[in-house]
Amino acid sequence: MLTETDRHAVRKSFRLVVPIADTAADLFYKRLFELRPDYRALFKDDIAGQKRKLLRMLAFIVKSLDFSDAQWKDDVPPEQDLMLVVLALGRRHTELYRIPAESYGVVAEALLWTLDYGLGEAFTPEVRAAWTRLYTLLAATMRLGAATVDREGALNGAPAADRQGEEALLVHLSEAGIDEVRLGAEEPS
Amino acid sequence: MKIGIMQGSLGEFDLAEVLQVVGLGRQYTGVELSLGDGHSGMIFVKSGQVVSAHADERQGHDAFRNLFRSKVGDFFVFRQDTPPDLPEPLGRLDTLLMDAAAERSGPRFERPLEDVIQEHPTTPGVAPPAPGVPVASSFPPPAVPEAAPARFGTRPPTPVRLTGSPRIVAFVSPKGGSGKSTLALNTALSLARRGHSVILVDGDVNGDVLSAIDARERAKAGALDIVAGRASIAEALIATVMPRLKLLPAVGPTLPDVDLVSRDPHERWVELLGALAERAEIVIVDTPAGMFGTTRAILRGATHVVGVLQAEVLASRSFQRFSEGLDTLPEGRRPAVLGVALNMLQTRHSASLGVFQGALQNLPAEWLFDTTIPRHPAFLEATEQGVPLRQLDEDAPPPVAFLFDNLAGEIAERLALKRPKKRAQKLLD
Repeated sequence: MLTETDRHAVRKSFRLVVPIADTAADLFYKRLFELRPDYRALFKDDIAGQKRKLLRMLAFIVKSLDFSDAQWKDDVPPEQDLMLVVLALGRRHTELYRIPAESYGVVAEALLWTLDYGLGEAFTPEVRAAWTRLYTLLAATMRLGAATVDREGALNGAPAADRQGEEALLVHLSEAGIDEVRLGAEEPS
Repeated sequence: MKIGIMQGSLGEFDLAEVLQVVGLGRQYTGVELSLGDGHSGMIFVKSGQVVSAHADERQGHDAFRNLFRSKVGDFFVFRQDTPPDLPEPLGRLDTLLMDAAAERSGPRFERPLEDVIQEHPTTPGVAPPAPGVPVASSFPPPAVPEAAPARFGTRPPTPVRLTGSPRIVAFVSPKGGSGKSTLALNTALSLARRGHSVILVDGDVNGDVLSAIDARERAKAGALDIVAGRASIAEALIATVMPRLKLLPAVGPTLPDVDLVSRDPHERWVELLGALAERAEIVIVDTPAGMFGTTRAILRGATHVVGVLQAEVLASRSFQRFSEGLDTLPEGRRPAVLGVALNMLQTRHSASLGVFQGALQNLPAEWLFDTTIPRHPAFLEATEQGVPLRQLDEDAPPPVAFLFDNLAGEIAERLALKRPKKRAQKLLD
């Protein structure tokens, strides 16, 4: 359960990450490949580009959490909606890259290690718990998205379904460069 | 116009999970439910606020809570344009989910969301005993007792609270001398040996846990000092030779203010236990005898409770206070009953066996752990040497020590803890 306190802790701690973003990205991939050396071969040679995408994705997530209760009526474009983006990301990972479920746990470990190392004393138990809950919820969202891949037909067949909305999201993800975190993935043929 | 987002079965993703995911979004999102019992419902969420809910003829909060009653059915999630005349929301989604959980809590609902990322979440149930390890449930059926078994509370208190990831387990007993401290200490040790990180909290000002390991002088500060605001957790926690086990003593070298001890600042206990749960997978709390006073303060902050029942007639008579005491806790502050451990069983004593039989007959079926702990001279020896039972002899612990591995296994299963990695080893190279 992601509470308002968690959102605040994530936003506040991420402000400390921004000045050391490049170092944090280096640390993340270093730790990830320590945990799973076999993942290294699955990335493009351009790790620098991959790091930029990771940071952009994190920035997008944290920014999406930044709204007050008083703003609840405000509309947000679908392509900037955290739930829709992450659901689509989950679908895309499964559909195109066949991401194994175990990679969620490995990435979580690398991410928390990076934040711990990078933030030092500022990475309090409360901040750790907040990031853990956020990541867990995002992983659940991706898995929900992935689980509906097989039901695309049913979803499209339903009178409410709208494939165009999905396409628009995927285009936005491509443009934003946040759709290619291909952990444990094979290049789509 | 409705735009479909996802659909699936509530058997695969429960409603709380689906709603938490929906709560991440800013769209005007509907969750349509077709429940297995022929009922249906709808919940609208926007930006983490529940806008409306209906379940058949019910509306509002009542409908929201009612929709969690069925675990069978399908969900369909869609978004649509935000209506121009949005009503005042029913409330924040996280708050309403907590309230709904407080009304109805089940194994799926209590499952930590972290398990969602596991491909194979742990299956609730009872751990099979290790080969060769004696289990009390294999005792022959007891003879008819001479005295009629005492009555226990017959109605299980409703488990409440969405426990989420914290696991704070209070060991309680209405009667003193039932062996709470011994059970809490040895179970905590076994849980740590299984690979879980554990903090054992001594909640009794008498400091029985540290007495049991002959280490009272090691405490620089304790839980009551933290509650009083005169020490921090870091100052009070004591590391042990077990890397995954830490101890939080009850008090430091001097007793805290008597007024403070008797005042039992409940909220400070809740805060302390919550903070400890961030530092370990499981927090085990040994409580003072009885169901009120400090024990009640601790229970308000615990997610689960283990009742310790001494297999002795007087203890069995007072055990009805266990249910009654829990019932007096306010909703939302009442821990779920993890189980009841029968302690100090004497198989050659008919009155003791009568308590065992009475517990089997009168306690709710799921309460009694399969593992029961006998009265055994090894406990006296361990106390005399100031060590936990298992540490009496590292190479050849007394067989009764293995029972705590069984009990820890049952507790881990009931808490749906992720299983530590198996370390199978072949006998031959």
